[in-house]
Formats: sequence, structure tokens, C-alpha cells
Amino acid sequence: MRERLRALTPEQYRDLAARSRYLVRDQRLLAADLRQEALVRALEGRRRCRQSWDVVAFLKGVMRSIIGDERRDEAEGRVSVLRDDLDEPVFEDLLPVEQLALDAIDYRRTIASIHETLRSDPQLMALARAILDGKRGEALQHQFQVDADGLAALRRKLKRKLYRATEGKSRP
Amino acid sequence: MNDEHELAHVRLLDDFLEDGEPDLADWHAELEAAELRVKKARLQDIRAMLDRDAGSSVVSIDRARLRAELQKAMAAGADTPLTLAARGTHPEDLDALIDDLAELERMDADQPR
Repeated sequence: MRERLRALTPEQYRDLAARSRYLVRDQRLLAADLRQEALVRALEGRRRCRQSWDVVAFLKGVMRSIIGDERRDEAEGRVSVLRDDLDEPVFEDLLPVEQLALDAIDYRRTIASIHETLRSDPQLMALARAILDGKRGEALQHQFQVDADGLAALRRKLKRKLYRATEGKSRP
Repeated sequence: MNDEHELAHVRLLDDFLEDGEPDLADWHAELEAAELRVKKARLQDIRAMLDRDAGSSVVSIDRARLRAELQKAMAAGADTPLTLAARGTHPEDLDALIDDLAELERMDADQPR
């Protein structure tokens, strides 16, 4: 599995990233959190991908399952398997029932928790505040006196900080 | 802050994080983070198993039995030896862990009931 995941092409990764962004569009989750959880489940073998399956379609299915459970939780016990992106009919047919079992993750993000995570780093805190004020691109570059590469570096730093905050928070 | 407002803010932040053209370096970083998370979970499982055995005061520590259980855990997770190595735990450390447990049990057995 590891080798198959490592062999993803840039196009496949872009496809996967785009799907994760779509799936979290109405969730208090970061797209990378969703991808991370899907990867963990695949690597642990909690979700098994047959050799004949397309690994990207498989990961999309795992992510959809995770989001389905998030939505089910939000519906206060109302069980509903949401099917919001049924453009993989072949994959749907291949996925065994047990693989469709819904999962949950417990690292929904709140602004308060994000602020708490960033509290020790004034620069990242200021960056988050600027983003939440609606600033993007050049406005951020101007505020933080960086060029595009500098902003990309800040983005990576913010990612690392936020993602580390979820370590140990996934649940079986 | 109501839920809608909260959600809008999380999405704003995520839009920034996901901005730019994703490349394979990003993907490999995500994959390595997931691998590390899996490795940590497996190591915790092994430690929990050792702790469970260490907590038993009825059955003597049987090195062969404990080693067999460890091997079983390793068989269940083919990467466990690698996991241990990645976490700085060598096979010798496993022996040391078993020794510690055996010593603890001996000490426990020596305590007056």
C-alpha cells in the first residue's frame, strides 16, 4: 500500500486534494486533516484497497465515508449515508459493505482551538487573524513584508503547526 | 460566534492552507506524517500489551510466552520491527523491557501479602 501511495503522480495528488477540499466544504475540518485520516486508515489496513482498484478512487471513498459519519453525528443520531459525489460508480460497486462502514474523526476545528494552537507563535497568530479578516495573496505579502515564496514558507509553517495539533486525536 | 460564522472562518483558513499548486513534496510530507502516526499507534499497542502483562500478579512472567505475544503483535503488523527501530527501540530494548517486567514481578512476589 505504501508503495502505491508513494507512486501517486502530481495529477493524482491534485485530484485527491481537490476532492478533499470539496468534501470538507461544509465541515469544520481542514482538507489535509481529512486526507491524513484517510491515509492512516489505509496504512493501518482498516480500509483495504485491492490491487485491482484505483488507489485514488479508493482514498476518495474512504474520505467520503469519514465525512458521511461527520454529517451523521451532526444530525444528532439520524443515520444517513450521504452520497454527494457519485461519480465513481465502479468504485461504489467494488467497495464491500464492510468497507462502507462509517467512521468518525474527532478533530473538528474551531477558531478557538486554532487560536490556542497558534498562541505561542505571534507571527502565525497574526497571519491567521489576517486570513480571517479576508486578506489573501498580495495583501498578506504586504502585511508580512514577504514575497510569494516567503508567503509560501509561512503557509507551510502554519500547516505544520496546525496539523501537529491533531496528533493522537484520531479514534478507531 | 455562531456555527455558520465559525464554519466560514475555518473554510477561509483552509482556503489559504490549500492555496497554491499542490506538488509531490506536499503529498510525500502528508504520507510520511500518516506513516509516523501509524507507527506511533503500533508502538503504543505493544507497550499497552507489555503493561497489561506487567500488571498481572497471578500469572508468572513467562519470557517465552511474552516473547510469543510480541512476535504475534509483530506478525499482525508487518512493520512493527521497523516501527520500533524508527522510534529508537532496538530488539535489545525489547529484551530489556521483558527483563524489567520479570524483575518487577519478582519484587512483587517478594512483598509480604
